[in-house]
Amino acid sequence: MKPKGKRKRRDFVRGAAAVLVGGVAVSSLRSCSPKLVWQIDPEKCTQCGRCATHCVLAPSAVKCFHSYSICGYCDLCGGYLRPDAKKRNTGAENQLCPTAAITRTFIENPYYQYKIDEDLCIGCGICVEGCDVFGNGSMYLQVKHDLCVNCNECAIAHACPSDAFKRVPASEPYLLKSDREKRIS
Amino acid sequence: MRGFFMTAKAQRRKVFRWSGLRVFASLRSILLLLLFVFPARAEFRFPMPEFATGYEHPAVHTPGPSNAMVGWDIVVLIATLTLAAIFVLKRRKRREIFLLTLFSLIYFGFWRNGCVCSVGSIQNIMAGICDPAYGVPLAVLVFFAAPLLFALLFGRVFCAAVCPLGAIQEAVAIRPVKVPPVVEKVLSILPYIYLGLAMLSVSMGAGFIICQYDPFVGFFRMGASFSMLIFGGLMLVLGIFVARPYCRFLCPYGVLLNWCSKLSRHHATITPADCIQCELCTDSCPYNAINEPTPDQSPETRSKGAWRLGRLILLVPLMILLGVGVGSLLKEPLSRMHPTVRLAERIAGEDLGRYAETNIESEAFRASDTPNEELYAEAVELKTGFARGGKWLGAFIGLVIGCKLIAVSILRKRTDYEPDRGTCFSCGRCFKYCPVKE
Amino acid sequence: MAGNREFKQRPILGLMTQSVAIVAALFSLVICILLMADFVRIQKMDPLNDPHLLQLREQLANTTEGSEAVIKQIRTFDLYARRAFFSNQEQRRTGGLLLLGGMVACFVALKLSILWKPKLPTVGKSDKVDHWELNALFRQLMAGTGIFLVVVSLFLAFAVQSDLSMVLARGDEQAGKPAPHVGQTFQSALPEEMKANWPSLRGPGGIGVANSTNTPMHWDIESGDGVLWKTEVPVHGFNSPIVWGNRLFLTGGDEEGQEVFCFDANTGKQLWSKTVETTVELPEVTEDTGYAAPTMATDGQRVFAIFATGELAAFDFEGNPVWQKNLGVPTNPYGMGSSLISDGERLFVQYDHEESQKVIALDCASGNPVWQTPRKHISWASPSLIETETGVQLLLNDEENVTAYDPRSGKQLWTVKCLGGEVAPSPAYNGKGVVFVANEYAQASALKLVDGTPEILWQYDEYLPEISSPLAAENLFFITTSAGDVVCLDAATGEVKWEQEFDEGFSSSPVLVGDRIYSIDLEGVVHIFEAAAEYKEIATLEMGEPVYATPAFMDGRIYIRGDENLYCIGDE
Repeated sequence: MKPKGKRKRRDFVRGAAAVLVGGVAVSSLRSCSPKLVWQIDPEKCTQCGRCATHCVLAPSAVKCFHSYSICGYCDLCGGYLRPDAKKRNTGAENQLCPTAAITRTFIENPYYQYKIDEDLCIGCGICVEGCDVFGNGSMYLQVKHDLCVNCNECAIAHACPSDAFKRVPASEPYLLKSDREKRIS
Repeated sequence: MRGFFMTAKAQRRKVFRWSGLRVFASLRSILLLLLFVFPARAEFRFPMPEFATGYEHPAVHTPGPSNAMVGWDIVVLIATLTLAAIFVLKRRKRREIFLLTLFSLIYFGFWRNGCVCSVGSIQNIMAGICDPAYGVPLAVLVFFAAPLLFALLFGRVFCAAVCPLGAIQEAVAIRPVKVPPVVEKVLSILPYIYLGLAMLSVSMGAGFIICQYDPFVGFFRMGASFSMLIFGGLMLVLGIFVARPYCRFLCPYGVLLNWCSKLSRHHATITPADCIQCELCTDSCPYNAINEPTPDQSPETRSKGAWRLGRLILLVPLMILLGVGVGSLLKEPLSRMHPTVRLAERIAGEDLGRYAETNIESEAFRASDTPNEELYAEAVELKTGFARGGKWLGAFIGLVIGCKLIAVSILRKRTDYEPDRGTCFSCGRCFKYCPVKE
Repeated sequence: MAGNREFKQRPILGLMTQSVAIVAALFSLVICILLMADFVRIQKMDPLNDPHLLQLREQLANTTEGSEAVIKQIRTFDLYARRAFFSNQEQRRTGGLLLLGGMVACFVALKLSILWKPKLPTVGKSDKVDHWELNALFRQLMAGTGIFLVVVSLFLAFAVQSDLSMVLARGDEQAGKPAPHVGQTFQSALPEEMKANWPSLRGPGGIGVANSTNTPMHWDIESGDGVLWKTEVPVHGFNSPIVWGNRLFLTGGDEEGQEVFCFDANTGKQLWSKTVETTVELPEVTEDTGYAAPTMATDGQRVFAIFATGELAAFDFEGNPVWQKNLGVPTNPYGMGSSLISDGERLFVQYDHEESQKVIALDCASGNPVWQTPRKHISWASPSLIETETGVQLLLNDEENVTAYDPRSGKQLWTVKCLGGEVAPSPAYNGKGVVFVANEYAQASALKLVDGTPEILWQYDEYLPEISSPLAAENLFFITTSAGDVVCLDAATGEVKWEQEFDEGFSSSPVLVGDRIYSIDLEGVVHIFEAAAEYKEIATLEMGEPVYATPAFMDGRIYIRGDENLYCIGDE
């Protein structure tokens, strides 16, 4: 049996420690935040290709998004066709995407719709650069949140050379270019 | 396959440029045609078409993150902690504790992919303290505080049966051998260094290194970088013979749990009643966490011990000072933890002609139009911060070494075999070795 | 005793589980090795850059329509590569699950075997160590660890060196030094002699403004009326002629070699030609650029020429080599396009290529570098030297910015982000503080320099130039596009004064001579019109061959480089 005095002292220290733990926790909670998730800022993204290779998931949780509302529906699509393409058709020799994840559909003369097949997309961003250089930039990379495991330290964010990854509230988990367009206008 | 798409990209760039003129020529005709029809917006090269066929834009599929689980995580955490405390303190059954461990491994590990975890949460808390703009979600807060509060009350029951990292190691600890107690004690300095480095990294905004070097989360998610998987695999193989190597020799959260557990209100005991000094339990603990009774007779005089203790207590401030001195020298290597500093060094090195080629980071920076001076100024400021942080880190490690020296030099009378409150994981192995059952 | 139940031995079950564990362990090991081998194999694979595929692609690129057989092969290749990629991902996922399963089975079996063949507790270990000795040992080891940590830290501290602090220290050193030209930080104006000649592309300062006003307005190539002389250009090149006194210089180049030519400006007689030898391997060039796109420059005593090889050579007026150096082979989609310019003391080279982007100033006499400033974007535009209130500024266009440098120190004076696309047009300047830049896929911007720093006056984005540079008269700005449009804008407001559409596009840049503008289209049609707020044609004359180069204007004479011939227009 321990002497009473010792026990009291221990109780006091324990209480102090509990207050400390609570205090530390609460002080970090000054701005109690909603749940945060990772997302790519399309304005900062330089399409380095690391999203395809650095995600803990294989294939990556980063996929190409297509904001149709800002797409020009071009026949000559910089995101779909290789720049040296001889013909504007769906032939593999003309396609830019390494996994053929973009489907091209004729809508009406002279417009074509480009749709990303997310099961095939690996998030390499090759089409994104093509669309940025020769198009409206309607294709861009986003973290797909039904796939993302939301690591505490996102492995791609750590590897991103252009600081394009940021945490956004889980209630608005996407940074869509079409939204940006709406905000501006 | 990593190289697969990177090189493809480099090559593609070339293709784009080379054929640029031809593409331009054809683009121009389209562009000019369209320019007459629609007023051009400066932002977009091509106007958005108006469709005559009534075509409508397909919706962009934006599934949200699954949010429902977070509440459950908190509930399951508290429940498992409570169960663990009951199993350790009341029911005293190793098998029950182990089954709970397996449940935690499956739920927190494989089912919830090892995130949120308490070990990593200290970084979020630190980030929240250092940067008021950084929000700490409630779940993270609970994952940080609950295990510590439980440790204050019941010892490290979190380690015993809740932590998925501990659980996977507990599951593979098949033939644990005893590490010499002295080696164990010396190596126990590593978690302090790791904790110090991690806190420095977070406070400077250099990233969450505990998460980057988490050995087992790769298994939980069934995917990680190759080096991470190799590190994890080695840890598991080592874990067959040296039980819980990560918990004992690396885990930074274990430091905090150790402190809290030392003060625990109720802690697991080897025997439910009085110790009969049978010594059977000593063999059962793979963690060197059972303290033997102190010998009755000290080989050295009391005054000699007191002198040494006095000297050591005087030595502590000196060790802290030494730590500060050494830490202040570590500005350069420590600051390399920060990506901005690395980038600034790279850019400076490239401008000095030190590298034959640019790398992907420096290219991205040079394309961004930020003046070098701005980057340099930021890096210099960060380095100043790291210099300050290095001193704190050095002082912390000096203090820890000093305290450890003092701790072994204080004679605490012990008559029974008792678990060491700090290092005992409450795994319950010793329970069944104790012949006293009631 | 209750303990008996807990340590009950079941040797047969124990043995069985042990064998299960061994089988599962072997299985996991095999899977693990397979996964690792697969990983290593995949690391080496690069199907998108397979030499065979690249070769096929090149074959396809070289044919105009593309042969069916090659297309078919590429498709097959592509299909295989994609199938391999996805089946590999599937394999890895399955392999991972199998490994996990194997390891779980192994550990479960091992745990059970231990449960059924438990190690019995033992009492009284013989090697009981002394508590006191242990503590003493611990203190020693701990001290050793502390020393080890200190040594490691010291090693790290000295092993990690900072390039940044070196760069910063260098910067401080430079800042600490007194400025090299105390009292006059900026050069106030270009030498008068330069203004009387045509020392670089688009004339003195490279802004497309001629100082003479008496150049001919009518001639006839077919009959030879008004044509002083005509001579064949020996080697093809897209560069423009430069003229100093009675000498005219230009370059030409092909795979055979790159040459500098000097003609007598009065007679058209070739005075000398010099081959600029190079040791570097000839880079690939496009047909649109060739080996000799950059125009030469002169400082009045020497002429300078640069080629697609990165070879930069200086000759005196008699053709004696003065110095020569290679600046590194430019790597850049369309090849080397930037022309040279000199302020009489220094030669400026805009060297914005993919590997590195920089502007270099070389001492005209020795070729030694005076300064070099890194830049951030590539370009094909040429530098201009403009005379502002605060001194001469060196203006450079690139893919995003127009940037001004101090020609003496290379210090950046200002930069404005207002360009985009692949920039070939150079800046224009109206001599009254307004810089005018434009490029297709961006916009045209008028930048007013107030105390040497710019502010955007207005922007315009309808007809924009692709190759030909814009032109600034005092109150009017002009753009000639590759589609054949000419636009006149008000310098103060950006209001469109007039638009005129011609049949052919422009590659040659317009030049302002007095109150009229000379602009030659790709078919060699010379449009002469008034530099006025309303379009008024003065003359439209045919050269009879394509013209890409910008002509040189001297007192009473025009020197025009056609695709094949060099003309001097003027009277005796």
